[in-house]
Amino acid sequence: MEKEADLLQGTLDMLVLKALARGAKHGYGVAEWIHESSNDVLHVEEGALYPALHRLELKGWLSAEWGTSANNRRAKYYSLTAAGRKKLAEETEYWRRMSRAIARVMQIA
Amino acid sequence: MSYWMRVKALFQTKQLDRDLEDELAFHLAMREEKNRERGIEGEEARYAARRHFGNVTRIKEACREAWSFVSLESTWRDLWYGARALAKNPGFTAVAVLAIALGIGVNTGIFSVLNGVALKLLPVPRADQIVSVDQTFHGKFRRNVHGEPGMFSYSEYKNYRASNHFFSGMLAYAPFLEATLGGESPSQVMGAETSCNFFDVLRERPALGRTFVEADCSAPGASPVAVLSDDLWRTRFGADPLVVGKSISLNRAKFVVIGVAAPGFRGLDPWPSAFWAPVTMQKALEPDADLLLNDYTGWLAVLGRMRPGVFLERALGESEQRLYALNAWRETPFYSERERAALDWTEAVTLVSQTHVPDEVYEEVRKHFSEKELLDLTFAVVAINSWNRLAVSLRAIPGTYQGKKSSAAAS
Repeated sequence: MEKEADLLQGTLDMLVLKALARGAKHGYGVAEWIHESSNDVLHVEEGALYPALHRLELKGWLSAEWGTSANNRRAKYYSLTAAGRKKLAEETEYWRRMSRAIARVMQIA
Repeated sequence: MSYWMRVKALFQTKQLDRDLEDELAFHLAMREEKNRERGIEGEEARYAARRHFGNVTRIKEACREAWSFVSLESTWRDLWYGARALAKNPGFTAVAVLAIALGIGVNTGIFSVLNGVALKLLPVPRADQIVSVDQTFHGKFRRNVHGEPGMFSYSEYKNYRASNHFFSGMLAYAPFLEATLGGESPSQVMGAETSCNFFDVLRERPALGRTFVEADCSAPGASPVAVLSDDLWRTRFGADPLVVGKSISLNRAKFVVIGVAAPGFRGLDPWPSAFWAPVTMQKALEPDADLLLNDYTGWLAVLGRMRPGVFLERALGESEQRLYALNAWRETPFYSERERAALDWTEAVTLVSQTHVPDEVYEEVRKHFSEKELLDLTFAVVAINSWNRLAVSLRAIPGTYQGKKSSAAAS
């Protein structure tokens, strides 16, 4: 049970980091980006998104700033730090290896 | 990184909460707007947004937990569990508590003693000028030790006092002096034998009467006087204002009280001194050993008060100046009276054929050196001159002679 949660958390972290690779976003923006980029397949559980964002900020992979959104509302914008970019690269590499390995295993008839 | 952020967060919890509130409210507002765009109407838009989001309170809690150091609940739970475990093992708990208490007690005790002995400055005026003086011996010079090897005999102390340049005053004292104070109910007291400039060097004025003068140390046994500590005066003599001039018995020898020290002055030992007597009374207080005339036993601790402007580093070695200026000793102020007398004598004896060593030079040097000392000095001058006479005549090359490497030079 623990392992599953870890895997999920790790994956979510990676998706969040990826979402911010192209520029700062607020939490809602991250959720929408993932949804759109995955062709509507992935729906990030919003209950997990905000604790994840805060955790990543504390770890030093994200930095946060308060600003005004497009429709003049006060919002917290997150962006990747240098360490965050490094972490994203690591996670991406790890994910590629894992998914290739799993695919190979699953191909075995 | 996260550590400092969380420390900061400790002091800004209200702000943090408000920010969190705003952040989630923003998300919900955006979702609500999106729902309206899709055609969901009225209140339903908002409810749908909330449902989609999840339990807002739980999410807020999760975010707050990420920021906290340790969740208070778990800390409390751990402490409670620990307490219960200890209660179940009273024997073990008692031993543990005792061990910790002992450790703390011993540590405190050791530090207090060390603080009193070595770290704190003496409670006297300008204590930063006061340094302790030790001596070391090089070579195979044998010497009795009475206490620390670095202590001084009486004659050594007097020598150093007469010929030093760095101290405005040098005092000597014999520590650990136990004496029986006689009377109706005799008691053991701790005191010290001190040189007669003891109170002057320390700049301690008496509260009553007087302290020692040089005449008190003029000869062994000359002046059986004592200065009492304020503490002793109050406890044993009932703060008697007429105590000066009273006779007391210390180790069965009669002493006259000449003064009482100021309250708060406790002497130089780690424990408070109850009385001080001139060092010349040593035999009276310690009948077993006659240390005043013993040149080879070190029993006196020496402290010096540095002259203003003299730094400790200079006091530790002979200055280059003094060595180089020796040729011009008459014209330079680097040498003490005693040294100048010795140098004058040396020149007179060396050039005896011209000077015939006049009476004035003899009188002058005898002021600073005893007969024996003068004899030693003269023979040294004669010996060195003889060797020089030989070496020059026979054209010896300077520096080729390597004598036995031993000297009793006390540094």
